[in-house]
Amino acid sequence: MPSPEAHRKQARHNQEVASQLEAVALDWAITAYFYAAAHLVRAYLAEHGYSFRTHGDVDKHLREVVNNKLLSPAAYQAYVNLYRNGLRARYDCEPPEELKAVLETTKACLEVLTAELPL
Amino acid sequence: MNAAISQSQSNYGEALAYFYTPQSTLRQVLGLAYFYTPQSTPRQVLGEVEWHKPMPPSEVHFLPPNLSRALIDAFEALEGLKRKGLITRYDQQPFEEDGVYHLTAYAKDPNKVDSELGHLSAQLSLKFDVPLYLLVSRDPDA
Repeated sequence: MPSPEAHRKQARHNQEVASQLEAVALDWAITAYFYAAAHLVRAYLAEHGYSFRTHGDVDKHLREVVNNKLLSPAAYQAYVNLYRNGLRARYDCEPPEELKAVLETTKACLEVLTAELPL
Repeated sequence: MNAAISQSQSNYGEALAYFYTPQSTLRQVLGLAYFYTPQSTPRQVLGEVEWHKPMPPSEVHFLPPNLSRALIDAFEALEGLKRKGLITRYDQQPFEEDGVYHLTAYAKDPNKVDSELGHLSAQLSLKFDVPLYLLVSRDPDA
């Protein structure tokens, strides 16, 4: 399993790539923003001694840290939305004009998440 | 043991068939979910599992109790959104991928209802301690 710092480095890389992809492909920009969040939460969980393999594992641990008041429900919801938006961007074949709103909510969700889990 | 496992799987098939029935009410679904939970898992019924049929990742063949309860709340909320005209329909069965359950709703304008479904996803997942994400797709027939 990668170290927390490796996850954090990957999160920063994915965010930079996502930002560049906004001008090229909104679907992949949204996807890359989700993977920035995915590595961000993995860094946090690894720092706190959690091990995980699947998205389900990550979700389970996140719910646990929310229940332990270490993470806010708003941050959890932001992560869930990033995951949902990534799926929608990849599979629903929506045109760019439809995805603009999804991109905006995706970036807003990442801001909510990074307010509690800095990149 | 094989006969018992077959019986268990058969029972669950009936549960799913009932689950699909459009006339079934939420209460009936709840009753079935609880009724079938003890019988649905060979491990619970028989102790050690000697054989387990591999299942495609996209199909949910066993509804954990928490998921059954979360789905009941989800269906109620989705019915409300349908009455408001925000969605046109929704799937009756979740699919599982990588440990997360997904239930898709369909809308004429997915962006109008996405935020609400995101809120519901987090709320239900936290309340019932199960990852149930409500997705939204454009309804091609709307």
